[in-house]
Amino acid sequence: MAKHRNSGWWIALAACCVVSVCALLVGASTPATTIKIALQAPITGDYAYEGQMAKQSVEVAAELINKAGGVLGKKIEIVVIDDASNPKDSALAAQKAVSQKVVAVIGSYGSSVTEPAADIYERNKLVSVGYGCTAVRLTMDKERKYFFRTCGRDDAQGLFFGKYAVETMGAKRIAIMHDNSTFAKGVADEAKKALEPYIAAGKTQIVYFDAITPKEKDFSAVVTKLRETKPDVWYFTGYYPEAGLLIRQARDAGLSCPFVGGNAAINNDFVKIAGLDVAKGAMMTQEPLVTDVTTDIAKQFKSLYMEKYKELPSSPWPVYAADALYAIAGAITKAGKTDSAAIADALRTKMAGVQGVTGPILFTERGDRKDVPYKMYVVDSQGALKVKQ
Amino acid sequence: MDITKSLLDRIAKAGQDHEHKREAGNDAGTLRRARNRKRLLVVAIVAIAIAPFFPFVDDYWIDIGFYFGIYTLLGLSLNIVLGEVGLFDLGHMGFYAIGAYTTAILNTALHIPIMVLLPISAVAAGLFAWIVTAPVIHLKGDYLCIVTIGIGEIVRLTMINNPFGLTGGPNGINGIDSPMIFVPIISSRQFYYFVWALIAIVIFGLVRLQRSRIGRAWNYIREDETAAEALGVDVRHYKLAAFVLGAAIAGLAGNIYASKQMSISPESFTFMESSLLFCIVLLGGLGSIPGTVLGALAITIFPEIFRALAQYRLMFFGLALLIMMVFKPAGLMPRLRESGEELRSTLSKRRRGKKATLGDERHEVPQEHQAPSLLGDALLELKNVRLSFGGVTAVAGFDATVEAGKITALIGPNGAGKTTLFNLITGIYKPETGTILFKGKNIAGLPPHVIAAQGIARTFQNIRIFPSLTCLENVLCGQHCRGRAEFTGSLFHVPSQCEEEKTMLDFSLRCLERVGLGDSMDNLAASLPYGKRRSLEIARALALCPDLLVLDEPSSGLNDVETEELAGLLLSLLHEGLSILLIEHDMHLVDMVSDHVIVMQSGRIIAEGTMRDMRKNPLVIEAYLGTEED
Repeated sequence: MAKHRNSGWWIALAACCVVSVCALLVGASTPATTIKIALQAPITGDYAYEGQMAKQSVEVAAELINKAGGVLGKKIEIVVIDDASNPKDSALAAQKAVSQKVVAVIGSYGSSVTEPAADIYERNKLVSVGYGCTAVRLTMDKERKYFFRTCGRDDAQGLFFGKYAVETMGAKRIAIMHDNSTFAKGVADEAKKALEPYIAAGKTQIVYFDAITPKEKDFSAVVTKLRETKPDVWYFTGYYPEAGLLIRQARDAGLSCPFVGGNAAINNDFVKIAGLDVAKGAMMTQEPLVTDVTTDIAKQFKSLYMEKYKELPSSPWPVYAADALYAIAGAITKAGKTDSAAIADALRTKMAGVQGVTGPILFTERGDRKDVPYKMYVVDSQGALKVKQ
Repeated sequence: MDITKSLLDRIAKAGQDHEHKREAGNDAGTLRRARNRKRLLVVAIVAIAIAPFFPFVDDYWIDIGFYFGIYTLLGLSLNIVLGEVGLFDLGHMGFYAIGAYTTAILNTALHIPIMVLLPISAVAAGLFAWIVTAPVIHLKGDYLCIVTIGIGEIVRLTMINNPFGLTGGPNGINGIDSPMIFVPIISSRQFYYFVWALIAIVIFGLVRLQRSRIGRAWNYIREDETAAEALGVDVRHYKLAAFVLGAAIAGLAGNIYASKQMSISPESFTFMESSLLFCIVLLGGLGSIPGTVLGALAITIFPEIFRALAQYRLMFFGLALLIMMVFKPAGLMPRLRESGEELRSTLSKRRRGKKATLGDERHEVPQEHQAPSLLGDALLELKNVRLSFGGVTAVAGFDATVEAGKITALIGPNGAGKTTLFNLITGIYKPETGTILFKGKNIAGLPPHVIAAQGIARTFQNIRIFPSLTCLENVLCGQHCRGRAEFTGSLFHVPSQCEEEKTMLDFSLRCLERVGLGDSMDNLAASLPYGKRRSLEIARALALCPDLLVLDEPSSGLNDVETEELAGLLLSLLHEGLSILLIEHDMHLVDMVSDHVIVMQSGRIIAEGTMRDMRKNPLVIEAYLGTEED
């Protein structure tokens, strides 16, 4: 009887002990013989698959860097911290990275998950380099001194499209269509901005720039209006349900110019909605998969990755995590020390010659990556996406 | 039986077994565990207060302490709805989201300070809860549960769909300010103390509510909704109040969360989080405040401890929960019911130095009776009352009169419609036609709690006591509708509320003594033997100070001695001026007590008069009594 009465006490006591021991284990720090860099990624949760691939990619990159002599004569040590793709866990993960006194952080994947973490890193003056967080506002809404990203901003593909349309496709009359969502409008605006110098030089013109209404089924009025402008290329920056219907109805109305979608416009469902005969040949501006990247580092990266994990990452984002590690390592080498302010400064100004898996890594003053590598993909005759040669 | 109900029953059963084992009828044990709890409380307060100063506690662990606080606050808020009232709310994160988004939107758009938004967020969440739950609050068990899942998901999806560009869609809102309490609250440590100070205030308020007529009304509803309503508890009102209060506290948590994170997005308010809150309350013990805190501790600490196990951590977490539920099905720290002394002492300590003992002072109970009814006047008149279920006419044009100051017995074969008639009188069913006049006023179709408040108290054929409450608390239910104190009064212990509570306690104790249960006042009702449960039910009805006592087969299951005692009790109540209407199959009892007998068959009266007349009436003999030789 007495034992039973005290069981509450014992449970409480045991819990306290467990907590203390764990806290001690976590709190204990090792002397700095390595350079500790944290990877904050969704190791569990809805995007665990992405997180696991990011972890593998970063570990492969770390191994390559360490094999080549490390950074400032020290080995890189990766500390993986799980944010479970959840804003609350993300804030905790950031706090953990801060407590563990890492030199810099790679992370994280989702934009709304990165946001609270970036705030904490900023407050603690710790450099963090995002790899899958593409929301424009991360770098544009707030002044952040210590936040960078190796992935492109949502609207960066617009920039790529502008260049590609004029220089590769030689388009004289360009139509741009969006759906008024923040994302699609951002991409469209960025494409327009990229075209401005060409327009000034008389090389091309924008013949159509307008929004459609999402969730509609009948776009005949839009298509008729578009046809009258006689475009050479037609860029749609919205989402795949509308994209599929639009291309189908446009082809039925006799509009035959090349169709280019943003990276939300084309997927398997797009092919289903439009039908393979119509979808074939549709293009998309997208971040390249590592399979389609051919830099020297990419070759080493791919062979080591294949050796260790048997199959390459199936999404573009984990490779940007590896890029982030290359960027941080490069910046530390250039700065010659591991002080946060020096690293941030090096990332902004001294990155000339630093190479990552996807190519050179340079950052803008606001922390966005310059000249993000994009590729033009095309739907082949089987309905699969291939890099356009 | 639906899932929610059976789960509640299982937990309640486990809790009662636990109590049984502990009690074994000794006062020392009761005292000891109360003292243990008190000691634990002190340890917990000290631990929470000094935790951030331990050398190995860095900002990371302080932040975990902060989120432990947030989950405690959320757990406490859900505990009101789920633990106290037994309503299965699986969309509680919706209210949290409303609080967080109210703060985020008003702060970023209009730059209203966070501390001003703290009460505003609570009000917004409470108002939202009232709007969405008012139309569905009558739903029972599983159905309400499903609706709440819907509410939670609708809130989250609305946030994602970015209505009017207010919520920022899937990316949410960023750039939320920090709160200012003289100094800006920014560091982990400041937030930690901020949230725990707020929790202390909330717990203080909740404990006071638990020990008031409001908290008890919530528990009555959880234990037995029908009985609570028939004894004068406005079930709809208290359920809604629980939802609104729970949502408001969740709204508070949302405000703090938003300002701590500085950015919010719909990912924080998923169904998974709602079910986690559910775990907190079930794990801790339904309706138990220390249990909820412990549950929140387990929910926040376990995943952190297992975080090193990466993808397996949720499996271990699940396993740990499972083990706890197997070994402590009633929760880690089930609610201890307060003894009468404890209830009493919380009321008088503040205003008087000495502790008054329960029952010392005899307060005059404010009698709700209008002018005392005169002997022989018609107290209850039924005129042409009719009710049918589908094609079956249960009560067919019934006319009868119950006279004041008399015991009227309703007899008849099974299926005659006697209990249906009782349910019509007490408002559980509404008659299709006809009027029911009580003290000259038509009460037909009024809700049960209103009828009860007018002075009709009832018992049930299959005993409906509140098993996991003490006998005293059971009886206090009758006094519920005689009290007036609402939320503010109960929270601030205003003098009128204290007086009222004391009056209620004393009167209820007298009602218990009246039926011979004075010694068992602090025992759980579930621990009473069958016969005493009947007495408890009568005591509870008496506590309502009724004019008319409606008893449904009070003698069923009683032995001869107990039946004799019951007859004695009924007669003495009669002498005190009470009128009684009873359904009875025990003709011996009817013979002993009844002044007037109504015989019912197939929803109609076939005869009425004295018992002696009935015995000679051939119709009655054929329909019910049978011949003497039988």
